[in-house]
Formats: sequence, C-alpha cells, structure tokens
Amino acid sequence: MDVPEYRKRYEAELAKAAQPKARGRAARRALTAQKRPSAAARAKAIAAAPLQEESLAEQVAELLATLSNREEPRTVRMAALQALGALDFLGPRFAPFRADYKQALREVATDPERELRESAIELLAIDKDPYAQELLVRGLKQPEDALVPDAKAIQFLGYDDHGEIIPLVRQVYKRAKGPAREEALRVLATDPRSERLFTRLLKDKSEMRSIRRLSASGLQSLNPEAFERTARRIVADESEDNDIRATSLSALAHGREAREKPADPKLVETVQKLSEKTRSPAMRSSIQRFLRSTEK
Amino acid sequence: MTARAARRSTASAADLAGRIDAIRRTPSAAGTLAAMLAEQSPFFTGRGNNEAERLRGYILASFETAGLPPEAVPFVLEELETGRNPYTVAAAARALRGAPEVPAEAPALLVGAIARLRGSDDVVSFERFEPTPASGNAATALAELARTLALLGPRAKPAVGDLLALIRGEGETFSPAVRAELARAAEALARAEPPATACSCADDGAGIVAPRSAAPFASAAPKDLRDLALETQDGARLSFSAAFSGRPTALAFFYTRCTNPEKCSLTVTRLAQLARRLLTEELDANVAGITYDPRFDRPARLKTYGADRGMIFSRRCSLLRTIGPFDPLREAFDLGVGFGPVTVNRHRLDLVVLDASLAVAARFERRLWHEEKVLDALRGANA
Repeated sequence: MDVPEYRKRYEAELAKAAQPKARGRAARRALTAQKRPSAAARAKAIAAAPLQEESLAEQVAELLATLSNREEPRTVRMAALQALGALDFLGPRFAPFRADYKQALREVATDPERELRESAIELLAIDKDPYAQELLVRGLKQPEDALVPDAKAIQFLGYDDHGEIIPLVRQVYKRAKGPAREEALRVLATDPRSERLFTRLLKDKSEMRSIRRLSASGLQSLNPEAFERTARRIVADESEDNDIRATSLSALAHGREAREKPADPKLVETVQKLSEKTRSPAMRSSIQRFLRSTEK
Repeated sequence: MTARAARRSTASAADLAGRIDAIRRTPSAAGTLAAMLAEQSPFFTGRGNNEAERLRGYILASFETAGLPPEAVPFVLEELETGRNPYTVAAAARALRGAPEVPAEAPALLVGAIARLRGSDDVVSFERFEPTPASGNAATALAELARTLALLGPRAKPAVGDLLALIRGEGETFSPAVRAELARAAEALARAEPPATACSCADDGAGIVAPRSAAPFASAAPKDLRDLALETQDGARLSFSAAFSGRPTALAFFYTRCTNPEKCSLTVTRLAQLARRLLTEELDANVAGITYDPRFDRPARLKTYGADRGMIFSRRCSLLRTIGPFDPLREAFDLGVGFGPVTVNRHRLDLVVLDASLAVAARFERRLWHEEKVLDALRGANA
C-alpha cells in the first residue's frame, strides 16, 4: 500500500470515527466533515486510531508527515505527536522508525507553535539528544533565543543525570524566580557542591515552604548525615514552621536514622514531648510515623 | 589534570572541532589524532559527557581518511564492543574503513554493535561537528555499521553467520533502508573469500595487559596509596593497605551515575559473580570496586548499587569510595578516566589485580574482561 492511498483510507476512517457522538448542529458539522473533517475531529480520530500491525509503516509515515507539516492545524499536529509518542512505547516494533521520528522531533523543536516545540524538545531531552540540549543551553544563556521558559529548559536538561548542565544551572539559579528557581534546585540535588546552598535554604525561615522542602530532599540525597543534623534542630525548634518540621521528621523516619542505627533517645524524647503539644495534623502524622520507626 | 582543574577548562567544543579539522589536513593526522583519544587527555577535560562523546566520535571518524594507526585500534574496538552512543559507534565503524589491517575480531564486534543499537538508531553526520537535524538522506548509525561490514568484504567473512542470524531473527526491527544495507553486507560477505592469513593486529578483549609496574606502589606511585583513606558501603573507614594487603585483590573502578549499562553496571555485576566464584573455588582474595565519583557515591548509594547487582558484601567483597579526591588512584594506576564539570565524562574499563604486597600483578583495560582470566591472574598473584 502506498502513502497517498493509505492517507485516503485513514481520513475516511477518521471521519467515521468522529461521527457517533455528534448530535444536532454537531451532527451537521460532522456531515460536512465527512468530506473535510474539522481539525478537532481529525485530532480526536488520530488519538482514537487503533494500532494497525499490518500497516504500521504507513501509519507512522502519515503521522510523521502530519507532524512536520506546518500547514496543518496545531491540534492535529499535536495529536500526531502524541500518537507517535505512544507508538514509541512499542519498543522493538517501533525501532525501524525511531531515526525518522527523532529527525521529525528535531525539526519541530524550532517550530513556531509553542506547545509542539515544547513537547518535541522534551521528548528529545528525555533521550539526552545533543541537538535539543544545545538549543536549551543556548536559551538559558541567551534568553532572547529561548524556545521554552527557563523552568522547562532546566527541567528538560535535568533529564540528563550526568550533571553537565550543573555549572550553568548554578548561574541561572542566581537570577531565577518562581518555578525556574524550584527546577534549578531539583537539578542541583545531584550536585555535591550545592550541599551548603541546600543547608542554608533549609535553615532559612524566611524562605518559601516549597523551596525549603526541596532543600530538605536535596540535602538528604546529597548528604544524609548533614541533613539529619539540620533536621533534628528544625524538629526541636518550636518557632519553626510546622510544615517544615513535619517534612523533616518524616524524612528522619524514612532515612538513615530509622533504618540503620537505633534512634537517638534525646530525639525520641523531643518528639514525644512534641506529640503532646502539637495540634498540627501534619505534625501529628509525622510524629506517629517517626515513633513507629523507632520501635523496629 | 585533577577533577577540580577540569572545571576550569574553557575552549568551546566548536573550537576544538576546528582544531580536529585542521589536524585532518596535515600529513601526520593519524598519529596526532590517536594521541588525543585517551580519556584523561586535556582535550576532553572539563567537557560534559555528551560533548566529550561527540568530540571522540569526530576524531574517530577522521581515521577513515587519515588512516587508522595501530595505537587507535583499541579505542575503535572498545567503542564497537561497549559503545551506546549511535554517533560514536558509527564513527568507530567509519574508522575501521581506514585500517590497513582489520583486527580479526572487528567484524564480530560490528555485528554485535548492530544488534546492540537496533532500538536506538539515529541519523549521523560527520561532515561537520555541530549537532543539527541532518538532511533527509543522511545515513543512520546502523547503515554506517552495515556499510563498513560490506566494505570489509573478504576480511569480514567470519562474521557472516552472526550477521545472517541477526537478519533472520531481528530483521523486522530494522528500517527498510537499514535492511537493504544489511542485505548488501551479507551478500558481500557471503560472496567473499576469507583472507589467506589471519590478521596479527587483533587486540584480544579477553586478554591480559602487561602490568605497567611490577613494583609495590611505595616505589612506583607518585603518592603512596597505602595510607589512602577509603570508606566502605557500610560507612566503615579504613586505609587502602588495611583493605587490600595480605592477599590478592581484583580491583575495578566504576561510578553509579554511569549511563552505559555495558560498563559500570556490568562491571559491578561481574565483580559480584567473581566474588561468588572465589567462594566456590576457595581462593582467598579480595574483590572490590572503587568509585570515580566519591562525593556523589556516598555509602548508602554504593550499598544499594552493589546489592541491586548481586553483591553479597563481606570483608572480602566491597564497594568503596575515597574519603578525599580520587586523583591519587587515577595517577597511581594510570586509569583511563576523564572528568567533566561535575562528574566523569568518559572512562574505559579498568581492572587491576594486586598481589598480597599491593604490587600490580596484572591489569585488564578498555575491553570487557573475562572472569576466568581474572581468576587465573588472582591464582598467579597468590602463588
């Protein structure tokens, strides 16, 4: 079967697939769509199209052509991209098409459509694609060239756990705000040199809770002993935010403290006293978890 | 250069690629480029893993026209045996085309690489360095590997059986273009007459490399390793000497952030198997792995990594990290490892066998080592 023939059959099937739910005006629109389906109907049909083993090559070729065609509506191209992403999970059966798929993603990585561009870059970044990484790095260094927001760029580059992006993320962190700052901290959680930063942020009562929570998990990952020291002080500090105390206590319960050595009697005593005083549900739950862990 | 110094490197990868282009045009290109391939070369220092891989690939591909010198052959075979990056593996295949004599094992390694990369094929181009979306008719890594097999012709005949088995068993996992290239390669190999004489330039992957130093470290290493502080997966601290002296030791190097399953993950899995063999053979020896990445690979991480790969930890079987920098070990054992801005950017496989006095009795480098040969080396060190 050749591609144009497959396309005709496919579009007919798509229009048919979009019909059953149509009522009233929608039904009239669907009748028109039988000749030229609307973008929404086509997108819906692409999403619903079953996998066709015997014509997988044609199905993939059609989806790749739709994705790369800038004349097509965004929703249809997006549906094609999502369908290709789903097919990628077929493993060996999708292997013959993987090189073409990556090439199509690289083309779409600079597409004017933000949603498409962002999705394509993310799919490439998950695969640690050097071209996508280069685009993302360029955007972080020169914000006027950025193809995705800083937060997304950091998140996508963070998929490469080799940490080559870390020096740049350290710089970006200094100017980052909001989600970009949080993403930067997530990436820096694999950077042993950021241990001090996490300790400082975790201790800083003026910092946002989300930042302090991220700092707690970052520090615990980088240096469990250092985290324990700081977390104990936070748990014992009555002027501390209850949410951060609860987070610290839960982490202590799940960390080295509970698993690998007997609980420190002083800490247990502090926590027991705390259980009598606190009214915070989060704290109560963390206290119970911690005390249970010391019984092991 | 130390890992810390690695972070100070500044020249852009594009500048370095320009240097490679300039070297390609010189009469002594092959030798100069081969000298740049060592992992610890300043050329790669401070680069990220992806950048180092691409630069390495760009150098390797140059040997197609510059000629593949003997000193670069182990790098090419290593890439074909354990490489996972389609760009670099394809570059190694290109390099083989410039070999005056093809190593006997190269055809089998090419077929192995095709099997290994069949799920991750990608378009590759060696015309220029920058990663860009190549044009529609650019070749893929698998096509490059198949073309090299076809070009080797008579010299690749020993691999024809493996190639045909791969096409029969996995044919549907290749694109039509790659299938056509593979069919052409199979035809070229089947038609060809085998070479009259075997090539003498083979680098036996299973083989032992002559120890560079037979003397104890006290006299051989720039810094005595005996007092080097180590920490085990359980957090116990001890000196290098306390950990390993008194009996032979198989000591390999790894790091938990390694993304190539053919390297560190496999190394630790095989260390675990080796440790079990020592028990059944009642051979009194140590089996250990030391991480290249001591700041990140803390005891808990080492413990989980080893346990997940079948390690049964004991006094004779451990994973360790240095308390301070890794550099003394790299210098003492001349390890093939380079560092990027944060962690390792590239490493070869390195396993050393030490005798009871901590002298290097044998070493296995770059290629996959075989358990039996390491056991033989341990027995020899014990004698």
